[in-house]
Amino acid sequence: MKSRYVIGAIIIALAIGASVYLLSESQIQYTTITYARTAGKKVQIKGKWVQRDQATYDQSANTFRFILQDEEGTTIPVVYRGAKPNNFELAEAVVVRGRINGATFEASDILTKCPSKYEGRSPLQTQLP
Amino acid sequence: MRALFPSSTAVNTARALYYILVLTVMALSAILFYAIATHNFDFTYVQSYTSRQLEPPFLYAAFYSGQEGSFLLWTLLVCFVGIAVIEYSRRHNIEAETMAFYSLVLVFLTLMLVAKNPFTFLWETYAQEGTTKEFIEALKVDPSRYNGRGLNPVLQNYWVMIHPPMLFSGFAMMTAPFAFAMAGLWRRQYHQWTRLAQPWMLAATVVLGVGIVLGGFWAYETLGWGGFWAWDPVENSSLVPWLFAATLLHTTLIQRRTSGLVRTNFLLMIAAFAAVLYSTFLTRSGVLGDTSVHSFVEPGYFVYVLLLAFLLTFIALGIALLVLRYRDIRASSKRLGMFSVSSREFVLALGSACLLVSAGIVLLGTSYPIIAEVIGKPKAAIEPNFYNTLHLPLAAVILLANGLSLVATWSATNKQTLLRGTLRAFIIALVLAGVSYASGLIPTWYPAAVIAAALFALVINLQHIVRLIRARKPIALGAYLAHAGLALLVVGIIQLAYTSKSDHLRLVEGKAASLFGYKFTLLGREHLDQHLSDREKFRYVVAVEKNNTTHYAYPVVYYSDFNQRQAPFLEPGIVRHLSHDVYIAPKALDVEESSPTITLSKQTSVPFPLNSRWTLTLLGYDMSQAQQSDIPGALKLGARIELRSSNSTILDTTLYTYFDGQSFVPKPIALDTLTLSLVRIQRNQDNPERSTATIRISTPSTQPNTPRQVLVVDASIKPMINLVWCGFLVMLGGVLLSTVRAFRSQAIIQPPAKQPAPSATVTAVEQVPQSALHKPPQD
Repeated sequence: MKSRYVIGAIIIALAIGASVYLLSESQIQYTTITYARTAGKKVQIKGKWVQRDQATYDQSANTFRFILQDEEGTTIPVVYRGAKPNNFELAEAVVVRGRINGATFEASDILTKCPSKYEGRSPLQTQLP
Repeated sequence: MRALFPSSTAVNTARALYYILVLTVMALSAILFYAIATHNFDFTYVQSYTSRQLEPPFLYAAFYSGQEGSFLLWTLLVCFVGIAVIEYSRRHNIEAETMAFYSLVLVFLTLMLVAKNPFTFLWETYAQEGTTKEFIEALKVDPSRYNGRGLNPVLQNYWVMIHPPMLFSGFAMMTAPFAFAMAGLWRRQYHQWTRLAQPWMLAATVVLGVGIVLGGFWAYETLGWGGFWAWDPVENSSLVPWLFAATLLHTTLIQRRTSGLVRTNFLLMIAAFAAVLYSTFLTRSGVLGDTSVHSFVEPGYFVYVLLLAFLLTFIALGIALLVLRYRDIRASSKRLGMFSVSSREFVLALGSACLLVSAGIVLLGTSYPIIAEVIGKPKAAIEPNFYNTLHLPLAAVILLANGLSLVATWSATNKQTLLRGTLRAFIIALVLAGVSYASGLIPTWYPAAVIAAALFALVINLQHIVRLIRARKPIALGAYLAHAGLALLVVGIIQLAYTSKSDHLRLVEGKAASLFGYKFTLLGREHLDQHLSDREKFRYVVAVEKNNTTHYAYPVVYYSDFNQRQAPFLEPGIVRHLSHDVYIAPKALDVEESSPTITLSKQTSVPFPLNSRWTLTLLGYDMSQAQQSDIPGALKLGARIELRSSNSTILDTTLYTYFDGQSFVPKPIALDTLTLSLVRIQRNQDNPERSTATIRISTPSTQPNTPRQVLVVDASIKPMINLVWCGFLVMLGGVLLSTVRAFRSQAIIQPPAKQPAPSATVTAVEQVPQSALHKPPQD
């Protein structure tokens, strides 16, 4: 019976070691622009899309640029390789995932938080007081 | 002793009560179904998830589209499975104990239905907002106002129709083996339960597995996620119970053959059932909130507590019973020697341990946002990389164990047997993996090593499959098919992960674009479902050409009243080949003017599109006439332009456009045969210098009012995706075959004539019949 436990323990120890190491490697913190500037690693920032008329999409390079304001009120230009997400205008909050490079935030993903993700608006509810 | 065996009157009463419960839940379901079918929007649930425009069968799928309905469906399914469990456990003389635990699950589920009642009326739900019954009654005269919100268009899909019922059926079936285990502990029959539970565990593995795969297929085929698995918390939380079930299939096999792992199996069974409840907790309590695409609305504090109590009660109950019987199990268990490293049980245990580790990793990653909050770390999301990296080595060990376990014999394996049994598979696997690595099919060595392990398992399983087919024993194929399917699946996943290519593509109607050796042309779009007024649905037609053969992909873009048509819903278009898919996921829509347009900011010049020796300059804007517009309600905006050839001025004028707050109506100026119009002014509030003007130049041949459709897509090549689907199919098909076989062999067993005394059963049931899952190779 003993070798079973020894081998089991080795597997579990290895698994715990590897997963704890990778867990710290692959977690992306929700943070602020100020922190992201010092951290230098991949983070995600929740914020709002501001100064909307400055947003541009460059067709040939397929890059979308816009200005993000985080919850502390700091703003930063964001570059995203890809088209403007379709529901971008409606999103009440935007989450960008990526890292800061110089003065801009290079986003690898943009998530949009919509006011009603799974809920339609009711024709009836509009009548409710 | 008498207390352990309730009188037949008590059992009969309990059984009758159970059937009454089943009938009641069926009646409730029928009422909800009827309310949905007849558009009774008095019920908040019906009003929230359906509408008059919703057509069958999606209308009926709304039954389980919300929390309340899905709890009702789960309860209903647990009730149905329970009827079979009653008959089954009765035959095996363990009905009372089994059903005691089984019904306890139903107690919690029905309690949940009290908290999440699908029959709340609108005037109860919105009482605080002042909605009264009279108000709703008055609305009924107007069908356009007495209507529901409708079902999320994303859910109006055939795959999603069977995905949730399958998952819930799988969850319901997991209840049975748990009840058998608890009854076994109660009765001090520590071995019998593994035999009783086996067919149920197999069935749960198939059904839950099919449910999970359907979800993956839906994400790939309809949602345009681009893959079949995204390590989304909700996907993960249904995978964990499945991994526990798969582990248990193997560890209970070890117990049946060696009488070892008794306490381990009890613990695993408790964990497996707890995983089902935890999955529900994660998806239904709103605890993961932001981190998932699935997570439902917050259900309220009471439901949160109830879900947590549900989970903790069953963990506590299971652990308490196990602790109570701990010494007894140890005293009654046979002393086993050490597992020899070369024995089949050791290899099986190794594979099972890896499956467990996999379950642990998925559990850890998925729960991390909760763990982080508890230990006071900042909120963080886990990247898919975490799961992928850890599963590569695990998959390799699991697949090696998969192959070896079929060659190894119980208690110890002779070296020659081992060598003879594995050599051929080993060489084939190494050669094939080596060739695919050398030829660049797989870019790095470690995925190639995992593929080698998969091929090793595949060859050994195929050898057994061929042997069984020759011996005309197709019913015994189950385990081998399942294992071969897993190997195929891993090969497919790795090929897909390491060799798929993806890039963005801008498809302009009528223009060809090249990528990855394919020529993509957007031919146009077709307006679908025109009879439905609640949506505007377009099917784009994309020609995908290679080597003079053309296939067509049909990405879909549609607007729905569900979100007031504010943002489109997107579905990918897929060209399926045997070896790969060409996958076109729409990302954004655009239109391109058919005539050349130029966008300029102040004091900039560009070459004139139709004559490059001319330059067009934007001198400035003229806003002086903005308020003196000749069109009422619109602003008259001007842009001063100059068109020059190398030595003379051709045109120096002001172009005007009328802006009504929504769109621009230009006032064109003719220049010989050309027409210049100011189609847009984009004002920059912060920096007026950066405001831009867009000018369209039309020739007589262009039709100014036919702008071209533009579809911005992510186009990708998905090699071996069919191997992934095929792997899933073979794997789950194999488990299905094993399930059929296990239920059949259970049906043959006659109930013992007399109930054996509990203390004697321990050794009595030790002589377990030949396992249905694995048979040692006969050659």
